[in-house]
Order: sequence, then structure tokens, then C-alpha cells
Amino acid sequence: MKYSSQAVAKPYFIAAIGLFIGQILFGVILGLQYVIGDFLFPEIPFNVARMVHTNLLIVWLLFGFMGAAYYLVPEEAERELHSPVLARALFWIFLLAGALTILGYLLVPYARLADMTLNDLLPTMGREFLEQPTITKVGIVVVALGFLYNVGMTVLAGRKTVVNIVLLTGLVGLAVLFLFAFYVPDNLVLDKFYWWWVVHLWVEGVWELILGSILAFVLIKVTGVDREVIEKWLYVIIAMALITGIVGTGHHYYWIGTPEYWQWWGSVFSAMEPIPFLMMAVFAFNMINRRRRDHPNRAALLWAQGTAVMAFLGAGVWGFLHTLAPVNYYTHGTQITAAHGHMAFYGAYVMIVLTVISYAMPILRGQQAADPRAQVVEMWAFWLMTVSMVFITLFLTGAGVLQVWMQRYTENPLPFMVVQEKVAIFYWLRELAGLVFLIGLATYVASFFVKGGERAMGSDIAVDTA
Amino acid sequence: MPNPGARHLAVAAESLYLANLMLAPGLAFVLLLVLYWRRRHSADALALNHLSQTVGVSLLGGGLIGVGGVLLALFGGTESGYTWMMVVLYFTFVNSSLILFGVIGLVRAMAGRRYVYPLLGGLFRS
Repeated sequence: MKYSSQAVAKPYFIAAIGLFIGQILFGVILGLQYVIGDFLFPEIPFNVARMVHTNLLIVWLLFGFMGAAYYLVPEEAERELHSPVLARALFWIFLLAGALTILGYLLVPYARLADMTLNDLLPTMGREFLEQPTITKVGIVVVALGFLYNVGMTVLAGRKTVVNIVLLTGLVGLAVLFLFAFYVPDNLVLDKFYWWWVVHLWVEGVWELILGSILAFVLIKVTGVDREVIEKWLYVIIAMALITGIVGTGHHYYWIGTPEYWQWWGSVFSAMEPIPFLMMAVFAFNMINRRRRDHPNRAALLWAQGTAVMAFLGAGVWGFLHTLAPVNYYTHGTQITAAHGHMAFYGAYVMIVLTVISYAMPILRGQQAADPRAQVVEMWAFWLMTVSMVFITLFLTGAGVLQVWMQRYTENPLPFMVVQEKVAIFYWLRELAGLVFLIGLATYVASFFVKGGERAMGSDIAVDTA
Repeated sequence: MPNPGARHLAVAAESLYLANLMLAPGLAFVLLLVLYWRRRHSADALALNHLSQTVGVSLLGGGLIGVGGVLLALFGGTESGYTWMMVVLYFTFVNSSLILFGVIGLVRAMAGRRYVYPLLGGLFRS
């Protein structure tokens, strides 16, 4: 590693993987609760398991983003991190706050948790994905401010590259938009309106900047393609992401009591949201096609390619599937949304974090790349997780289309729970695919402990990939 | 090294192919057909490869989507939710596959290299 302070990224990556395991375990529990309703009841009710599953996802991705920033910002800025001590302190604060919050969800009834954490003083609890106690939210803001100060000072004092600037812009956006988690209007329409400013403008806005910059960084490192070329692509991709994503927020405003013009704005702009993801796929494959370096870390390259493809499929194709207002009229809030959510989060954000971990972790452990045998195991994990996620998505889509038909489209719609029983086979199949995903994750974790194999040396010779 | 004009033409063909699948179905295909018709005798080998591949795979891919969808509807009956589930999954699978092949085609065109689409492209070698 070029700068010793980059080492602070390591605990962030380890925590991210640990919480990822927790998220998937709760995912498997949830999957089973879809078909065996009282499984683990009353110890872990469905609503609690769901809250833990989604909150762990958000927290571990944030750990991953922070780890990525601590790793790549010093290298891009060509200087040590402003304060490694602050980074380590914030790590423990964030981990402790996250762990206490999850334990709170699991051990205390939600209403009592609200009382215990003095939610009455500034009520912010009870909204999907933003269930965290207000005090945790305040903690997140403190950690985010300290993190931005640390990373920002490093960028300001060092070399300013497009990768660093785009990453910093994304991280600032992430922190600023989170402030809307504190704004809870009494009017339910307004409440939902601004709730999306956190949820949508994170994942279909500023997080795409973070995704793009991390992908660009890894591609610069593993392909050796000129930085200028990659930076030009990055500019265009993030411009398209913001142009389509910001007004595309309108696809959440169709049926919540907002004016009808949102059906047009939302449909038109969100129909264009696959474009930046398509460009990202072209970008990744183009850079790999033009690579001037045969990097020994083949696993990182595979993750980078996988990110581009799966993000396009999950966020782009499956997003488009139900984004037009006339279609969304029927599909809103069905399992089609769940299908999109699973593949989009996995393709865009899980995979980019695993990409940067795959690239940086061996370096943080004193190697240029993991041992070849470890890479083979990691690539097995890649395929197990990715293929099972494709199947999870397909089964949920199948369940979703049937749900739309039986519950909403036919002349004699069936009640929700009757339909749930009729699509149970898809939930069983999804559970099976989820278990394969869990096996893939275990394989991924195991890859960190595998050693041996014949080491391929990196080289800067031009390679013909045609 | 192919001349820049040929590469631009190849990139234009692949871009129109992708636009037909995503942004402007039909309109982009008509433009692709016009491009093919006007340049089929004057284009060099690289451009002709991409032009014929994209036109051919667009036609075949469109047929695959249309015929597959109709067959599913005929055999399953349009009054069944299972039919529509199959139609949606089939359409999404074929459309996404064609797009991803197109991404590789576009990358190859940008690099000034020939490309034969998997499965379908073999019929349109130039």
C-alpha cells in the first residue's frame, strides 16, 4: 500500500462483511417467514426481521463506502489521510451505534425502543428504512460529519482528481440528503414526498456517484488505461445519472397524493435511468478491452465487470419494467418491486463494495493480489452469489406478475392473503436460491483464509483481448 | 488499424441497435435500415460487419420476441396470469440478452474490431 493511513480501511471492510453476513442470515429467516408465517415467532417477528435485514444492508454498505473512501482518497490525493485517529474513532462509534440499534430492534418492542431513546423530543422513528432511533440518526450525522471532514481535508490538501471530487460530491450528497430523515411533516403526503429525498436520491442519485468513482478507481488500477479516458467517461455517466435520477424521483409520486404532472415527469425521466447504467457497462467493458496491464487480481476484475452488468440489469432493466405510470398503476408495491430492489442493490452497491474489497484487501494484507487459489474460491463465490441473485429476482418477478394479475388486474380480484398462498411456490424457490446465496457468501468469507496456488505476476505488457 | 470513418459507422450501427432495444424502438431500427441500405456497397469490411450483424440480429431478435410471445399466449391462453408471467420473463430475458450482446458489439466497434453476435449472428457473417 502506498500510504500507511490507508490501513484504516481494513476494519471498515471487515465490519462490512460481518454485517453483510448478518443481513443475509436475516434475509433467509425472512424468506422462510413468507411461507411459514410463525417461524421464530414471537422471538423474531416478520416486521423486526425485515427491519434488521434492510437496516443492516444500509449500514454495511455505508461501512463499505467509508472503507473505500479511506482507501482510495489518500492514493488519489497522493498524501496521507488527514487524521487516521479520527477515522479509527469514528469506526468504533459507528459500529457500536449500529450494533446497539440492531440489538434494540431485536430485544425491545419498537414502541418501547422509541420511548427509551426519547423519540418524543424529536420524532423521526417509524418510517420504512429510516426506523433508527433519533439518537442513532444523530450519531450517523456526527459520524458522517467527522468522516467528511477527514476525507475532505485530505482531498483539499492533496492532488484533486476527478475520482476524488466525484466521490466527495457523492458522499456530501449522501450526508446532506440524510438530513431529510429528521423532517417528518404531519401531512402524510408531504412526509412521503420528502422521505423519498433520502431513499430515492440516495440510491438513484448520489450513491451512483460513489459507485461510479469507486468503479473508475479500480479500473484505473487494474487496467492501466489512461486516467484521462476513464475520467471523461465518469463525467458523462454521473451527469446522466443525475439528470435522469433527480427528476426520476417522480416515479415514486404517482399515487401518493401529489399532482398528476408527476406521472409524466416521473415516467419520462425514470425511463431514461437505465442509460447511465448502460453507459457504465460499456465503460467497464471498453476499459477492460483497452487494458494495458495484465493485473494479477483477476477476481477484482470479475467483480468490476459483474457490477456493470448486474447494475444495468437490476437497476436499469428491472427498474424500467415497472417505472412507467400506466404500468406502475398495477405493479406498485408488489413483488415486482422486491425483485427490482434485490437485484439493483446487489448489482449496483453490494457488488461495487465487494469489488473494492477484492482489490484493496490483498494490498492491505501485504500482497499485490490474493493467492491464486483464494481467487478461484472468490470467483466461485462471485458466481454462486450472482447466479442465485438472478434466480431470486426471477422468482420474485414471477410471483409479482401473478400477484398483479390475480390481485389487481382481473375483473374479480382476490384478497392479498389468498394471492400470497397462491404464489407460495415462488417464495419456496426464492428461499432455496437464498440458501445458495448464503453458501456463496460463506465461500466468499472462506476465500480470505485460503492460501496457495501458482502466483501469476502482474505485467504492463499490452494484451490483446479481442 | 481501421480508418476512423469505418469505425464511426460501426459505432453508429451498434448505437442504433441499442437505441432500438431501449430508447426508440422502431424509429432507431428504421434509421439503422436506412444506414445499412445507403452504405452497404460503400462500407469497408469492419463497418459492413457491424451493419449486417446489427440489422440481422435486430430482425431475428424482434422476431424471437414477437413469435415467442405469441406462441406463449396461444398455448397458455391470454386469460391466465401464468401466461403473462411467462411472457414478461421471456421478453425481459431476450431483450436483456440482446442488449448485453449489443454492449459487447459497441465496445468491439469502438475498438475497431469485428463482432459476431452469439447464437444469432452466425447467420449474418459478411
